[in-house]
Amino acid sequence: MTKNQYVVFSLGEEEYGINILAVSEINRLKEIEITKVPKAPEYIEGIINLRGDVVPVVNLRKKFNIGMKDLDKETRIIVVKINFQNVGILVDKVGHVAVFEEHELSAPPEEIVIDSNYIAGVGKKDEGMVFLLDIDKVLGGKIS
Amino acid sequence: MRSKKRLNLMTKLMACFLILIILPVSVVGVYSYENAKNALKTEAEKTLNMQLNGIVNNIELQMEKVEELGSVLSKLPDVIKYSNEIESGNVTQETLRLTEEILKRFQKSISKIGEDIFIANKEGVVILDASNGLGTGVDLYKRQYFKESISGKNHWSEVIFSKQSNKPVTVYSLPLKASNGDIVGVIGIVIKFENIAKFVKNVKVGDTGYAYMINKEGVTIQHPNNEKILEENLLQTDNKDLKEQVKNMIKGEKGHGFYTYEGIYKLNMYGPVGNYWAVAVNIPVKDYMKAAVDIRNKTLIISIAGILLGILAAYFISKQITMPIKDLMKLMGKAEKGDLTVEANIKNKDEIGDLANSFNNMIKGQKNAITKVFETARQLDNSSQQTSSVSEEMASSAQNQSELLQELTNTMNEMSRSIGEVAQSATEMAHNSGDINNSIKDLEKAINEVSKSTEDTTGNIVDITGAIKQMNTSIETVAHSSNNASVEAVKTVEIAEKGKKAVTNTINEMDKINEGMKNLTEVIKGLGGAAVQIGDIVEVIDDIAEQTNLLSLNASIEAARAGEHGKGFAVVAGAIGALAEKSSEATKDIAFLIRKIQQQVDNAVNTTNEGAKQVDNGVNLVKNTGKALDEIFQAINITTNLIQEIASSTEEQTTASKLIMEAIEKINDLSIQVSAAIQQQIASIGTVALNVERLNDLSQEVASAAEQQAAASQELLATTESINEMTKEVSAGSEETAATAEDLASQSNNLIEVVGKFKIE
Repeated sequence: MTKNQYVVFSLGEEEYGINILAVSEINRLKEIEITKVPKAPEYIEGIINLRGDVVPVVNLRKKFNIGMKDLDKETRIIVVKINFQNVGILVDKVGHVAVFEEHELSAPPEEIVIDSNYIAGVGKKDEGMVFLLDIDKVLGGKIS
Repeated sequence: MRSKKRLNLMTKLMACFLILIILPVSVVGVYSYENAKNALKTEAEKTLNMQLNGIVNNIELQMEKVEELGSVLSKLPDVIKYSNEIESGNVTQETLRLTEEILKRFQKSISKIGEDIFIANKEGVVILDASNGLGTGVDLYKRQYFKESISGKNHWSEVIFSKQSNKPVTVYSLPLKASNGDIVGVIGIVIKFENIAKFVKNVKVGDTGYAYMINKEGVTIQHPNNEKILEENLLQTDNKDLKEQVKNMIKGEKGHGFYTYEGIYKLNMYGPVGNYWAVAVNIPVKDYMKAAVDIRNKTLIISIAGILLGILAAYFISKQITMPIKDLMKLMGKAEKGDLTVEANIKNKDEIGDLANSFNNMIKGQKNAITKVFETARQLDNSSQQTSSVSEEMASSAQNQSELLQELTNTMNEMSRSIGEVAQSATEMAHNSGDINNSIKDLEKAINEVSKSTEDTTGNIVDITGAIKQMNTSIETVAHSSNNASVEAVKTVEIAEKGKKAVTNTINEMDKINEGMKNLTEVIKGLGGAAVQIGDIVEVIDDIAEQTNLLSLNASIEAARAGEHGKGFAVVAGAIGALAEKSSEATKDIAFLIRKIQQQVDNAVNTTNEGAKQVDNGVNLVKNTGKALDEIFQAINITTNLIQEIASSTEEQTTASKLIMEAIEKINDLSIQVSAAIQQQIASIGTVALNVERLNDLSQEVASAAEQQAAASQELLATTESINEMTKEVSAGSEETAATAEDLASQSNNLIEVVGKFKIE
């Protein structure tokens, strides 16, 4: 059951999903201040203090190269656990936790703008399609 | 014009006459011709009929006589005896002789008409006759009459040529009967046809009418033209009409008709006579129509004569009328040119004569008038000449006088130079009087001007009077309308005051509104503030909802992580998420509503602000109105005052104009008086002139008075002077007279010239 639960968030018009087991928690920006890190890669937004823990925040938009958007009160930070490390990703909106049945999942099509490595599959819901991300691949390797 | 008149009148008259003559004459002629024709035809027919009947009667009479004779003869006892003997075949000599005697006797008795009497036996042979046996032995068997009589009939034969005399005869045959009634023979009485024919022959109808007879073959048996007898067969004629009638005659019909025979148109009447004959009597139509033709010819002659007479009459009458008219026109022409000696010599005793007389009278009258004028002109000429000569004499005598006086004066001058001085001063006075004369003339002129200007003034006065009357009427109109205006003004004042009150009320109301508006704005603003507060609260709620949502998400994550154990927790997390969503929705709605309210509040505030502005505007307008009304009020007051002033001044004007009218009337009177005075003056200018003369005399008297101081010579000088003066007067008078005479002469010359154009003798 937990295998098919995804946290659905949006970047622009598209919806993406991350496996719920990968997600630690979701926070909003109101109480959190992102501290800029000089000389950090561009897609690194900054770092935050999460109950004493220093967590880097990745701007997924920059990572995916899909244009910039201002931060508003909808913006969320999804804290994910990769290699026993917490990384936060900045997203426009967090929707809900979605449960996909088997028949609602499929392989990603070949023609996609973003590197297909990132996308593990596509989930189909009545409201639309959700790109299911392999978060390891998205954030893997480049974080130090 | 001349020939036209003649032709017209003549033609008219001629036409009239012609119609008057031709019409009745021709009508009468035609009528009488027709009547005559018919009457004559009837007459002719009657005559023919009579003749025809006469002929027939005569012939038949003749025939009857012969028949009687025959009958008597046949019944004679001797004859019967003879016939008995013939029957028995034994005729005695005695009987024969006796019978012959009888025959002879009878023959003698009819010797004029009869040729022979014979007896023939049954075989047709003549056995006895009255001409001593001349005819005996003749075979008559084939003869028609024999055949008839031998069968017992009395019969008149056809016309035949007698063998004895070779003349035409007709035989009357009758059966000779014995006493037993048997027919033994035939008695024949030979009648000379001429005895019958004579009745036809002797007939004469009209001038060339005759009778003729034809037999059953159509052969002419009697005709005035002997050559035709037994030669001409009328049936053979080509003439249809004749042939027709001949056929009828042969048939034994009686009738009449017309035909042309040998070129003569005839009326023919015919009838049968005897067994075999027909008699016809005819008369050439021309014969009996002679009378009608006569009438026709006479009528024609009369009408032609009448026409000619008519033409002549017309000609003469018209001539009679037009000739004097032409004469008169000629004379009128002459008179027109001035010859008044013309006289019309027309002796007609009709309207033309009257016209001529009137013309003559007119000319005479004119001649007399012109003669009188001529005489008067001549007299005028004479008298003007006389006047001329008289004035010349006057002038010359005056001249003489003057000369004499001059001598006297010269001698006088020596005597008193002082007289001369006085005379000089008198002359001066004379000059002065001359000046006075001039000034009199000037005065005359001035008086004329005054007269003229008086007239002008009168005219002007009339104009002024008219104008003043107009002015009066207009003043009255003004007074009237100013009264009206005053009344209206009062009304307007009342209305203005009402208006003022209304304005004040309006302003008060508007202030109240303003107050109300302000209050309203405050209230609304309060609303706005409340809404903002609500908004703040809603934000908090929203925040809470967000956090809740996040919480639910995190909870579901933890639940997922917990796996099986976290299922319950996952449900709870889901419920919390749902709740958070609802809150979020609710807050969104509230936020939306709050925004709406805020918008409305803003609108309301704006509106009230606008309203406040409007109210201000309104207040301003009303205030302006109030001001305007005040101004109106003032203006009305002023106007009312003005009107009253006008009213009072019109009264003054009316009185003033009345005064003016009176003054003008006075002026009018005055000018009339002036006019009258002027007239008097003009009249008296002459008197003045005389008076000037008198003044002159007076100056003379003055001079003479000065002279009187000196001596009798001064008196004389004065007298001389006066004589001189008189001479001058005479001279002047004679000059005037001469001038008048000249004028007169020229006038009389003109007159004589004019009159001279007329010839009066």
